[in-house]
Amino acid sequence: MDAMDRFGEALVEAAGRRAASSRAQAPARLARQRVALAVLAACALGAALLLGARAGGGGAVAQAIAFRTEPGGEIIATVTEPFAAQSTLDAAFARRGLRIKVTLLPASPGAVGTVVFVGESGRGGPQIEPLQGGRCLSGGGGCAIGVRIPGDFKGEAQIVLGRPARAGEPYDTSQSAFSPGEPLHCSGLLGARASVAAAALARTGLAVSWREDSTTAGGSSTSRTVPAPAPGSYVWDAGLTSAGHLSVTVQSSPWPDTPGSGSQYDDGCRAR
Amino acid sequence: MDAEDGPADETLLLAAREDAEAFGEFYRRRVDAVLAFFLRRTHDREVAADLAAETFAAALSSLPRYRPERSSALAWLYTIAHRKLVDSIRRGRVEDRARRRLGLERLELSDIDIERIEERAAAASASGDSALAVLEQLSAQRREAVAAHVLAEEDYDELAQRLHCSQAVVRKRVSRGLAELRARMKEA
Repeated sequence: MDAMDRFGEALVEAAGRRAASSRAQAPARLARQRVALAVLAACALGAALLLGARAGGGGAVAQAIAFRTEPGGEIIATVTEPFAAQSTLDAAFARRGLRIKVTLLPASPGAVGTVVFVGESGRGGPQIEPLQGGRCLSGGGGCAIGVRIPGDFKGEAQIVLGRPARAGEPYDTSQSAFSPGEPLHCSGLLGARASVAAAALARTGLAVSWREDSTTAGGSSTSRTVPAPAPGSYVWDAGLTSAGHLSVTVQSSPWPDTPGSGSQYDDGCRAR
Repeated sequence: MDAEDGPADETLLLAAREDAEAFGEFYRRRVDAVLAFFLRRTHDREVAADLAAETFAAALSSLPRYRPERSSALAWLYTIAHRKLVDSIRRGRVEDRARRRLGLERLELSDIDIERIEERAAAASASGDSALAVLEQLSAQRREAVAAHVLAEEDYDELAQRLHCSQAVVRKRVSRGLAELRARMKEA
Protein backbone atom coordinates (compact mmCIF):
# COMPACT_ATOMS: atom_id res chain seq x y z
CA MET A 1 0.00 0.00 0.00
CA ASP A 2 1.50 3.37 -1.00
CA ALA A 3 0.74 6.98 -0.04
CA MET A 4 -2.02 7.37 -2.64
CA ASP A 5 -3.74 4.20 -1.37
CA ARG A 6 -3.49 5.49 2.19
CA PHE A 7 -4.91 8.83 1.10
CA GLY A 8 -7.77 6.95 -0.60
CA GLU A 9 -8.60 5.24 2.70
CA ALA A 10 -8.54 8.55 4.56
CA LEU A 11 -10.79 9.98 1.88
CA VAL A 12 -13.30 7.15 2.34
CA GLU A 13 -13.34 7.83 6.09
CA ALA A 14 -13.96 11.52 5.40
CA ALA A 15 -16.74 10.58 2.97
CA GLY A 16 -18.28 8.44 5.73
CA ARG A 17 -18.19 11.34 8.19
CA ARG A 18 -19.85 13.62 5.63
CA ALA A 19 -22.57 11.08 4.85
CA ALA A 20 -23.26 10.57 8.58
CA SER A 21 -23.43 14.32 9.16
CA SER A 22 -25.76 14.66 6.18
CA ARG A 23 -28.07 11.97 7.57
CA ALA A 24 -28.14 13.69 10.98
CA GLN A 25 -29.33 16.91 9.36
CA ALA A 26 -31.85 15.09 7.17
CA PRO A 27 -35.10 15.71 9.15
CA ALA A 28 -34.82 19.50 8.99
CA ARG A 29 -33.73 19.33 5.38
CA LEU A 30 -36.60 17.00 4.51
CA ALA A 31 -39.20 19.64 5.23
CA ARG A 32 -37.38 22.12 2.99
CA GLN A 33 -36.96 19.46 0.29
CA ARG A 34 -40.68 18.68 0.33
CA VAL A 35 -41.46 22.28 -0.48
CA ALA A 36 -38.75 22.35 -3.16
CA LEU A 37 -39.97 19.07 -4.66
CA ALA A 38 -43.51 20.37 -4.85
CA VAL A 39 -42.26 23.43 -6.74
CA LEU A 40 -40.08 21.26 -9.00
CA ALA A 41 -42.94 18.88 -9.71
CA ALA A 42 -45.13 21.80 -10.73
CA CYS A 43 -42.37 23.16 -12.98
CA ALA A 44 -41.73 19.72 -14.50
CA LEU A 45 -45.40 19.27 -15.23
CA GLY A 46 -45.49 22.68 -16.86
CA ALA A 47 -42.41 21.90 -18.93
CA ALA A 48 -43.82 18.54 -20.00
CA LEU A 49 -47.05 20.17 -21.09
CA LEU A 50 -45.12 22.83 -22.98
CA LEU A 51 -42.91 20.26 -24.73
CA GLY A 52 -45.91 18.12 -25.53
CA ALA A 53 -47.64 21.13 -27.05
CA ARG A 54 -44.56 22.00 -29.15
CA ALA A 55 -44.29 18.43 -30.32
CA GLY A 56 -47.91 18.37 -31.29
CA GLY A 57 -48.61 16.14 -28.33
CA GLY A 58 -47.41 13.15 -30.31
CA GLY A 59 -44.30 12.44 -28.27
CA ALA A 60 -41.90 13.56 -31.03
CA VAL A 61 -39.42 14.93 -28.49
CA ALA A 62 -39.42 11.62 -26.61
CA GLN A 63 -38.18 10.02 -29.86
CA ALA A 64 -35.19 12.35 -30.11
CA ILE A 65 -32.93 9.47 -31.10
CA ALA A 66 -33.78 6.60 -33.42
CA PHE A 67 -31.89 3.37 -32.71
CA ARG A 68 -31.38 0.64 -35.26
CA THR A 69 -29.36 -2.57 -34.92
CA GLU A 70 -27.38 -3.69 -37.96
CA PRO A 71 -27.16 -7.39 -38.90
CA GLY A 72 -23.60 -7.46 -37.51
CA GLY A 73 -24.84 -6.18 -34.14
CA GLU A 74 -23.71 -2.54 -34.52
CA ILE A 75 -26.12 0.02 -33.11
CA ILE A 76 -26.93 3.03 -35.26
CA ALA A 77 -28.16 5.98 -33.20
CA THR A 78 -29.55 8.84 -35.29
CA VAL A 79 -30.57 12.15 -33.76
CA THR A 80 -34.03 12.89 -35.11
CA GLU A 81 -34.67 15.98 -32.97
CA PRO A 82 -31.56 18.18 -32.99
CA PHE A 83 -33.09 20.68 -30.56
CA ALA A 84 -34.05 18.10 -27.95
CA ALA A 85 -33.13 18.81 -24.34
CA GLN A 86 -29.94 17.21 -23.08
CA SER A 87 -31.92 15.20 -20.54
CA THR A 88 -34.03 13.72 -23.36
CA LEU A 89 -30.94 12.63 -25.28
CA ASP A 90 -29.37 11.16 -22.14
CA ALA A 91 -32.54 9.30 -21.28
CA ALA A 92 -32.72 7.79 -24.76
CA PHE A 93 -29.25 6.24 -24.42
CA ALA A 94 -29.86 5.19 -20.83
CA ARG A 95 -33.02 3.33 -21.90
CA ARG A 96 -30.82 1.32 -24.30
CA GLY A 97 -28.42 0.55 -21.43
CA LEU A 98 -25.69 2.67 -23.04
CA ARG A 99 -23.47 4.94 -20.95
CA ILE A 100 -23.09 7.45 -23.74
CA LYS A 101 -23.65 11.18 -23.53
CA VAL A 102 -24.28 12.92 -26.83
CA THR A 103 -24.17 16.71 -26.72
CA LEU A 104 -25.25 18.85 -29.66
CA LEU A 105 -23.72 22.26 -30.35
CA PRO A 106 -24.91 24.90 -32.81
CA ALA A 107 -22.61 24.63 -35.82
CA SER A 108 -22.01 26.23 -39.18
CA PRO A 109 -23.63 24.44 -42.15
CA GLY A 110 -20.54 22.43 -43.07
CA ALA A 111 -20.08 21.24 -39.49
CA VAL A 112 -23.65 19.98 -38.93
CA GLY A 113 -23.52 16.27 -38.16
CA THR A 114 -19.75 16.26 -37.85
CA VAL A 115 -17.90 15.18 -34.76
CA VAL A 116 -16.65 18.04 -32.61
CA PHE A 117 -15.28 15.96 -29.75
CA VAL A 118 -15.09 12.32 -28.76
CA GLY A 119 -14.02 11.13 -25.34
CA GLU A 120 -14.14 7.46 -24.45
CA SER A 121 -13.00 5.76 -21.29
CA GLY A 122 -11.39 2.37 -21.29
CA ARG A 123 -8.65 0.72 -23.26
CA GLY A 124 -7.90 0.81 -26.96
CA GLY A 125 -8.71 3.37 -29.59
CA PRO A 126 -12.03 5.09 -30.27
CA GLN A 127 -14.83 2.62 -30.87
CA ILE A 128 -17.70 5.00 -31.53
CA GLU A 129 -17.76 6.67 -34.94
CA PRO A 130 -19.91 9.27 -36.65
CA LEU A 131 -22.55 7.83 -38.95
CA GLN A 132 -20.51 8.49 -42.04
CA GLY A 133 -16.72 8.60 -42.10
CA GLY A 134 -14.67 11.13 -44.05
CA ARG A 135 -16.54 14.40 -44.28
CA CYS A 136 -18.55 13.75 -41.17
CA LEU A 137 -15.31 13.67 -39.22
CA SER A 138 -13.51 16.37 -41.12
CA GLY A 139 -16.28 18.61 -42.38
CA GLY A 140 -18.41 19.01 -45.43
CA GLY A 141 -21.85 18.83 -43.91
CA GLY A 142 -24.86 16.99 -45.23
CA CYS A 143 -24.31 14.31 -42.64
CA ALA A 144 -26.98 12.63 -40.61
CA ILE A 145 -26.44 13.52 -36.96
CA GLY A 146 -25.64 10.35 -35.13
CA VAL A 147 -23.17 7.68 -34.17
CA ARG A 148 -22.28 4.07 -34.91
CA ILE A 149 -21.74 2.04 -31.74
CA PRO A 150 -20.20 -1.44 -31.59
CA GLY A 151 -22.76 -3.98 -30.38
CA ASP A 152 -20.47 -5.06 -27.54
CA PHE A 153 -19.63 -1.52 -26.37
CA LYS A 154 -19.58 -1.50 -22.58
CA GLY A 155 -17.56 1.61 -21.79
CA GLU A 156 -18.54 5.22 -21.29
CA ALA A 157 -18.34 7.92 -23.88
CA GLN A 158 -19.07 11.57 -24.38
CA ILE A 159 -19.55 12.71 -27.96
CA VAL A 160 -20.18 16.23 -29.16
CA LEU A 161 -21.76 16.68 -32.58
CA GLY A 162 -22.67 19.76 -34.60
CA ARG A 163 -26.37 20.58 -35.01
CA PRO A 164 -28.10 23.30 -37.04
CA ALA A 165 -28.38 26.63 -35.22
CA ARG A 166 -31.66 28.25 -34.31
CA ALA A 167 -32.46 31.55 -36.02
CA GLY A 168 -29.89 34.12 -34.86
CA GLU A 169 -28.08 31.64 -32.61
CA PRO A 170 -24.26 32.08 -32.67
CA TYR A 171 -22.29 29.01 -33.73
CA ASP A 172 -20.23 27.28 -31.07
CA THR A 173 -18.16 25.64 -33.74
CA SER A 174 -17.62 26.27 -37.41
CA GLN A 175 -15.65 24.90 -40.29
CA SER A 176 -13.43 27.11 -42.37
CA ALA A 177 -15.68 29.17 -44.66
CA PHE A 178 -13.63 27.73 -47.54
CA SER A 179 -14.46 24.10 -46.79
CA PRO A 180 -17.22 22.11 -48.49
CA GLY A 181 -20.69 23.16 -47.39
CA GLU A 182 -19.58 26.66 -46.34
CA PRO A 183 -20.24 29.95 -48.17
CA LEU A 184 -16.75 30.60 -49.56
CA HIS A 185 -16.12 27.07 -50.80
CA CYS A 186 -14.60 27.26 -54.31
CA SER A 187 -14.69 31.09 -54.13
CA GLY A 188 -10.95 31.40 -54.78
CA LEU A 189 -10.66 33.99 -52.01
CA LEU A 190 -8.33 32.00 -49.76
CA GLY A 191 -4.97 33.73 -50.07
CA ALA A 192 -6.44 36.59 -52.11
CA ARG A 193 -5.51 40.19 -51.43
CA ALA A 194 -7.86 41.51 -48.75
CA SER A 195 -8.95 44.39 -50.98
CA VAL A 196 -10.06 41.92 -53.66
CA ALA A 197 -11.81 39.76 -51.06
CA ALA A 198 -13.58 42.77 -49.52
CA ALA A 199 -15.02 43.74 -52.91
CA ALA A 200 -16.15 40.17 -53.61
CA LEU A 201 -17.64 39.73 -50.15
CA ALA A 202 -19.61 42.97 -50.45
CA ARG A 203 -21.61 41.24 -53.19
CA THR A 204 -22.45 38.17 -51.09
CA GLY A 205 -24.77 39.86 -48.62
CA LEU A 206 -22.73 38.51 -45.70
CA ALA A 207 -21.98 40.83 -42.77
CA VAL A 208 -18.18 40.77 -42.64
CA SER A 209 -15.89 41.49 -39.68
CA TRP A 210 -12.12 41.52 -40.00
CA ARG A 211 -9.39 40.14 -37.75
CA GLU A 212 -5.71 40.78 -38.20
CA ASP A 213 -3.18 38.18 -37.06
CA SER A 214 0.39 39.30 -36.62
CA THR A 215 3.59 38.09 -35.03
CA THR A 216 5.62 40.30 -32.72
CA ALA A 217 9.40 40.63 -32.83
CA GLY A 218 9.52 38.30 -29.82
CA GLY A 219 7.77 35.60 -31.82
CA SER A 220 4.40 35.66 -30.03
CA SER A 221 1.29 35.96 -32.17
CA THR A 222 -1.55 38.39 -31.62
CA SER A 223 -5.00 38.63 -33.11
CA ARG A 224 -7.19 41.73 -33.00
CA THR A 225 -10.38 42.96 -34.55
CA VAL A 226 -9.86 45.72 -37.10
CA PRO A 227 -12.50 47.88 -38.82
CA ALA A 228 -11.02 47.13 -42.24
CA PRO A 229 -8.10 45.07 -43.52
CA ALA A 230 -4.78 46.87 -43.86
CA PRO A 231 -3.80 47.68 -47.46
CA GLY A 232 -1.64 44.95 -48.92
CA SER A 233 -2.82 42.26 -46.48
CA TYR A 234 -3.97 38.78 -47.53
CA VAL A 235 -6.83 36.48 -46.55
CA TRP A 236 -5.62 33.57 -44.39
CA ASP A 237 -8.83 32.22 -42.93
CA ALA A 238 -12.55 32.86 -42.56
CA GLY A 239 -15.45 31.33 -40.72
CA LEU A 240 -19.11 31.98 -40.07
CA THR A 241 -19.83 33.08 -36.51
CA SER A 242 -23.60 32.83 -37.04
CA ALA A 243 -25.84 32.65 -40.10
CA GLY A 244 -24.94 35.52 -42.40
CA HIS A 245 -22.02 36.75 -40.25
CA LEU A 246 -18.51 36.06 -41.48
CA SER A 247 -15.22 36.68 -39.66
CA VAL A 248 -12.25 36.98 -42.03
CA THR A 249 -8.66 36.72 -40.78
CA VAL A 250 -5.93 38.55 -42.67
CA GLN A 251 -2.16 38.74 -42.37
CA SER A 252 0.40 41.06 -43.90
CA SER A 253 2.35 38.14 -45.39
CA PRO A 254 1.06 36.34 -48.50
CA TRP A 255 -0.67 32.97 -48.21
CA PRO A 256 2.05 30.31 -48.68
CA ASP A 257 2.50 29.67 -52.38
CA THR A 258 3.45 26.05 -51.96
CA PRO A 259 1.85 23.10 -53.78
CA GLY A 260 -1.11 21.77 -51.85
CA SER A 261 -1.76 24.86 -49.74
CA GLY A 262 -5.48 25.01 -49.06
CA SER A 263 -6.05 21.86 -51.15
CA GLN A 264 -8.06 20.34 -48.33
CA TYR A 265 -10.84 22.74 -49.34
CA ASP A 266 -10.75 21.94 -53.07
CA ASP A 267 -13.00 18.91 -52.94
CA GLY A 268 -15.72 19.34 -55.56
CA CYS A 269 -14.46 22.66 -56.94
CA ARG A 270 -13.23 21.37 -60.30
CA ALA A 271 -16.67 20.04 -61.19
CA ARG A 272 -18.20 23.50 -60.84
CA MET B 1 -9.31 -0.88 -11.83
CA ASP B 2 -11.11 -1.03 -15.15
CA ALA B 3 -13.98 1.42 -15.53
CA GLU B 4 -15.72 -1.09 -17.78
CA ASP B 5 -16.35 -3.30 -14.76
CA GLY B 6 -19.03 -2.28 -12.30
CA PRO B 7 -21.29 0.74 -12.17
CA ALA B 8 -20.78 3.92 -14.20
CA ASP B 9 -18.77 6.74 -12.64
CA GLU B 10 -21.93 8.86 -12.52
CA THR B 11 -23.73 6.16 -10.54
CA LEU B 12 -20.84 5.96 -8.10
CA LEU B 13 -20.83 9.72 -7.53
CA LEU B 14 -24.55 9.79 -6.86
CA ALA B 15 -24.27 6.82 -4.51
CA ALA B 16 -21.27 8.42 -2.77
CA ARG B 17 -23.50 11.05 -1.18
CA GLU B 18 -24.72 8.31 1.17
CA ASP B 19 -22.19 5.55 0.65
CA ALA B 20 -18.55 6.39 1.42
CA GLU B 21 -17.27 3.22 -0.22
CA ALA B 22 -18.76 4.32 -3.56
CA PHE B 23 -16.49 7.37 -3.48
CA GLY B 24 -13.61 5.07 -2.61
CA GLU B 25 -14.31 3.03 -5.71
CA PHE B 26 -14.48 6.18 -7.86
CA TYR B 27 -11.14 7.29 -6.39
CA ARG B 28 -9.44 3.93 -6.99
CA ARG B 29 -10.78 3.86 -10.53
CA ARG B 30 -9.61 7.34 -11.52
CA VAL B 31 -6.70 8.35 -9.28
CA ASP B 32 -3.98 6.97 -11.55
CA ALA B 33 -5.33 8.83 -14.60
CA VAL B 34 -5.46 12.05 -12.58
CA LEU B 35 -1.89 11.46 -11.37
CA ALA B 36 -0.82 10.94 -14.98
CA PHE B 37 -2.57 14.15 -16.01
CA PHE B 38 -0.77 16.20 -13.35
CA LEU B 39 2.57 14.51 -13.89
CA ARG B 40 2.48 15.33 -17.60
CA ARG B 41 1.74 18.98 -16.81
CA THR B 42 4.09 19.54 -13.85
CA HIS B 43 6.87 16.97 -14.41
CA ASP B 44 7.09 16.77 -10.62
CA ARG B 45 5.93 13.58 -8.88
CA GLU B 46 5.36 15.14 -5.46
CA VAL B 47 3.44 18.09 -6.86
CA ALA B 48 1.38 15.73 -9.03
CA ALA B 49 0.46 13.63 -6.01
CA ASP B 50 -0.40 16.72 -3.96
CA LEU B 51 -2.61 18.10 -6.74
CA ALA B 52 -4.34 14.75 -7.23
CA ALA B 53 -5.10 14.51 -3.52
CA GLU B 54 -6.45 18.07 -3.42
CA THR B 55 -8.55 17.39 -6.53
CA PHE B 56 -10.28 14.36 -5.00
CA ALA B 57 -10.80 16.17 -1.69
CA ALA B 58 -12.44 19.05 -3.60
CA ALA B 59 -14.53 16.54 -5.56
CA LEU B 60 -15.76 14.97 -2.32
CA SER B 61 -16.68 18.39 -0.91
CA SER B 62 -18.50 19.27 -4.15
CA LEU B 63 -20.44 16.00 -4.41
CA PRO B 64 -23.82 17.53 -3.46
CA ARG B 65 -23.48 19.91 -6.41
CA TYR B 66 -22.63 17.21 -8.97
CA ARG B 67 -25.39 16.88 -11.57
CA PRO B 68 -24.99 13.90 -13.92
CA GLU B 69 -27.49 15.43 -16.34
CA ARG B 70 -25.13 18.39 -16.79
CA SER B 71 -21.82 16.62 -17.28
CA SER B 72 -20.17 13.25 -17.21
CA ALA B 73 -18.27 12.32 -14.05
CA LEU B 74 -14.97 12.43 -15.91
CA ALA B 75 -15.62 15.89 -17.34
CA TRP B 76 -16.60 17.11 -13.88
CA LEU B 77 -13.48 15.62 -12.29
CA TYR B 78 -11.32 16.98 -15.09
CA THR B 79 -12.74 20.48 -14.61
CA ILE B 80 -11.84 20.37 -10.90
CA ALA B 81 -8.37 19.01 -11.71
CA HIS B 82 -7.78 21.73 -14.25
CA ARG B 83 -8.83 24.46 -11.82
CA LYS B 84 -6.46 23.07 -9.18
CA LEU B 85 -3.63 23.10 -11.69
CA VAL B 86 -4.31 26.69 -12.75
CA ASP B 87 -4.60 27.78 -9.10
CA SER B 88 -1.31 26.15 -8.22
CA ILE B 89 0.47 27.86 -11.11
CA ARG B 90 -1.06 31.20 -10.16
CA ARG B 91 -0.16 30.87 -6.45
CA GLY B 92 3.16 29.12 -6.93
CA ARG B 93 2.11 26.33 -4.54
CA VAL B 94 -0.51 23.60 -4.13
CA GLU B 95 -3.37 24.59 -1.86
CA ASP B 96 -4.59 22.18 0.83
CA ARG B 97 -7.85 23.98 1.61
CA ALA B 98 -10.14 21.15 0.47
CA ARG B 99 -8.18 18.61 2.50
CA ARG B 100 -8.16 20.79 5.63
CA ARG B 101 -11.92 21.24 5.32
CA LEU B 102 -12.28 17.46 5.43
CA GLY B 103 -9.76 17.07 8.24
CA LEU B 104 -7.27 15.31 5.98
CA GLU B 105 -3.50 15.53 6.40
CA ARG B 106 -1.11 16.58 3.65
CA LEU B 107 0.60 13.67 1.92
CA GLU B 108 3.83 12.37 3.43
CA LEU B 109 5.72 10.72 0.61
CA SER B 110 8.59 8.29 1.08
CA ASP B 111 11.09 7.60 -1.71
CA ILE B 112 9.18 4.42 -2.51
CA ASP B 113 5.90 6.37 -2.71
CA ILE B 114 7.46 8.80 -5.15
CA GLU B 115 8.65 5.92 -7.33
CA ARG B 116 5.16 4.42 -7.25
CA ILE B 117 3.58 7.66 -8.47
CA GLU B 118 5.51 7.42 -11.70
CA GLU B 119 4.57 3.75 -12.11
CA ARG B 120 0.90 4.44 -11.48
CA ALA B 121 0.85 7.34 -13.91
CA ALA B 122 2.62 5.28 -16.57
CA ALA B 123 0.10 2.47 -16.16
CA ALA B 124 -2.80 4.90 -16.55
CA SER B 125 -1.24 6.46 -19.65
CA ALA B 126 -0.72 3.03 -21.18
CA SER B 127 -4.38 2.17 -20.64
CA GLY B 128 -5.28 5.34 -22.55
CA ASP B 129 -8.00 7.24 -20.73
CA SER B 130 -8.87 9.19 -23.85
CA ALA B 131 -11.56 11.32 -22.26
CA LEU B 132 -8.89 13.06 -20.23
CA ALA B 133 -6.11 12.75 -22.76
CA VAL B 134 -7.68 14.33 -25.81
CA LEU B 135 -8.20 17.75 -24.26
CA GLU B 136 -4.67 17.91 -22.96
CA GLN B 137 -3.46 18.70 -26.42
CA LEU B 138 -5.03 22.16 -26.27
CA SER B 139 -3.51 25.26 -24.73
CA ALA B 140 -4.54 25.93 -21.13
CA GLN B 141 -6.98 28.73 -22.02
CA ARG B 142 -8.69 26.80 -24.79
CA ARG B 143 -8.78 23.60 -22.75
CA GLU B 144 -10.48 25.28 -19.82
CA ALA B 145 -13.00 27.01 -22.06
CA VAL B 146 -13.85 23.84 -24.00
CA ALA B 147 -14.01 21.64 -20.90
CA ALA B 148 -16.23 24.08 -19.05
CA HIS B 149 -18.60 24.98 -21.88
CA VAL B 150 -18.78 21.77 -23.90
CA LEU B 151 -18.29 19.08 -21.28
CA ALA B 152 -19.49 20.71 -18.07
CA GLU B 153 -22.16 22.77 -19.91
CA GLU B 154 -21.29 26.01 -18.16
CA ASP B 155 -22.93 28.80 -20.14
CA TYR B 156 -20.93 31.61 -21.72
CA ASP B 157 -22.14 34.19 -19.24
CA GLU B 158 -21.07 32.16 -16.18
CA LEU B 159 -17.79 31.27 -17.80
CA ALA B 160 -16.95 34.85 -18.74
CA GLN B 161 -17.56 35.97 -15.15
CA ARG B 162 -15.45 33.18 -13.70
CA LEU B 163 -12.57 33.78 -16.10
CA HIS B 164 -12.81 37.57 -15.80
CA CYS B 165 -13.09 38.19 -19.52
CA SER B 166 -15.77 39.06 -22.03
CA GLN B 167 -18.24 36.58 -23.52
CA ALA B 168 -16.72 37.27 -26.92
CA VAL B 169 -13.30 36.15 -25.69
CA VAL B 170 -14.73 32.97 -24.17
CA ARG B 171 -16.66 32.20 -27.34
CA LYS B 172 -13.50 32.64 -29.35
CA ARG B 173 -11.55 30.29 -27.07
CA VAL B 174 -14.26 27.63 -27.32
CA SER B 175 -14.57 28.01 -31.06
CA ARG B 176 -10.83 27.90 -31.69
CA GLY B 177 -10.36 25.06 -29.21
CA LEU B 178 -12.99 22.99 -30.98
CA ALA B 179 -11.49 23.80 -34.36
CA GLU B 180 -8.10 22.63 -33.08
CA LEU B 181 -9.60 19.42 -31.70
CA ARG B 182 -11.28 18.81 -35.03
CA ALA B 183 -8.00 19.34 -36.87
CA ARG B 184 -6.21 16.93 -34.54
CA MET B 185 -8.89 14.29 -35.02
CA LYS B 186 -8.43 14.67 -38.75
CA GLU B 187 -4.66 14.14 -38.41
CA ALA B 188 -5.14 11.03 -36.27
